[in-house]
Amino acid sequence: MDDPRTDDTRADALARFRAEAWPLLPSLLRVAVILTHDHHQAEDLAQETMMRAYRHIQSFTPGTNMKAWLMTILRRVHIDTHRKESRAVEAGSLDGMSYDPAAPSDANAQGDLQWSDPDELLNRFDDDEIVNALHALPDPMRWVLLLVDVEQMSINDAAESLDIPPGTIKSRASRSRAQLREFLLPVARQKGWVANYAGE
Amino acid sequence: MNTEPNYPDALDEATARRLAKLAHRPVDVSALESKLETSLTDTPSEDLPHTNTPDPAPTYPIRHWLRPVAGIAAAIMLAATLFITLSSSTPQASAAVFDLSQLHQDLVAGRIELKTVTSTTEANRWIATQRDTAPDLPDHIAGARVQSCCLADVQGELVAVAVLEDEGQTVTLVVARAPDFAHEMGTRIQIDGRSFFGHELNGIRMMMANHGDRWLCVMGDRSYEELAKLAASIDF
Repeated sequence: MDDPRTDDTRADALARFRAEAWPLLPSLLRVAVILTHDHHQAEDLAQETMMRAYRHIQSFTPGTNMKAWLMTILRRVHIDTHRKESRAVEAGSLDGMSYDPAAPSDANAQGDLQWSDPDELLNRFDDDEIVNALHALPDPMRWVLLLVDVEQMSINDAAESLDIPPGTIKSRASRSRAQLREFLLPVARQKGWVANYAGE
Repeated sequence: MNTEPNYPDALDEATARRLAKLAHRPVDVSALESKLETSLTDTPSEDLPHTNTPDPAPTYPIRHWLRPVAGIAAAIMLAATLFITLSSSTPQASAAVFDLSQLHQDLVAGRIELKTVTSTTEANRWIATQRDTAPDLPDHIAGARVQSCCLADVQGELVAVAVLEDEGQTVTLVVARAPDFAHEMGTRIQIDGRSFFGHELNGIRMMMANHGDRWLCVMGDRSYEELAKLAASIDF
């Protein structure tokens, strides 16, 4: 067994950290910015995540998904940092999690009718408006969309990162997208996009 | 857009497409890189990867698993049993043996939430995400199948726990960093020049040993010899 305190081991760990984790800094910071809505807080969050990853780099299995591992740590650090806030959000998330697009409410059904050209309408929203809607989602929904849709992680990697079954990731992603559209619809109405769009 | 998911409808797919565009937002990592470089340079030696210094006292004790009534009954049994089997042990050792046996009982009874894993490598990946200062489980355990893991607090020390299946029996492996966990009393078995120290409480036998800067304990309904053999197969 290697003496873990040798300079060689430390140099190896640092080299590995720089080669595998460092290139993922943009992804990590991007997700952190969406989570915190504040660039400075996001930097602190990403920094703590990276340092925690560095201290445990020996436990990361080569060949597995470093991004999934880092996102797991990021989520844990975020929960640790904002534990009270997260609990409140999660407690309030139950209604949101019960939303089922397969059996939409009247309001949802009416709203979905106005998305007949969804790409055109969705692209009218600027990024900040999309991020605001993401931020309004309950934590479990937001994390699924961050990993699967924004960061393009596979269903299995997202499932491993969030420690939930792949099937749950799929169904939750769909519910979360529907909920996101629910949050965006009032903005579209306020800007007159939906009325104009529906009238075309 | 992620090509893997099966989208239920065009609306869902369009939403995913719009979200994917967020990944193209520019992010300036220069300040973060500078902070990280400074942090890496300033990191104390004890915080470097895989160094094995004792952790600060954890905040959640094993006692929260103990139901009050069961705890009182177990304490009475402990007093009688320890007098017979551990009369030469220090008070600290006795308390640790009691906590460890309780830990094993709670694990077997399903009273502790466990993370299902198939290897210690997978367990260590999970542990790394849970507590920054948690000790790692061993890389190699010959013959036993790893089933699940968790973190616990024994006598003020954060420990990593793996539930193993060894020849059809459930065996609990506990790993700590603190050298003062070592128990020089109890039944002593030597394998390949290494010493293993056995204790028994409430029908649960346990074998403890030091392994470098780590301390480990394997326990379950197995003989001292079987437990010592399992402990001797463990390598970090």
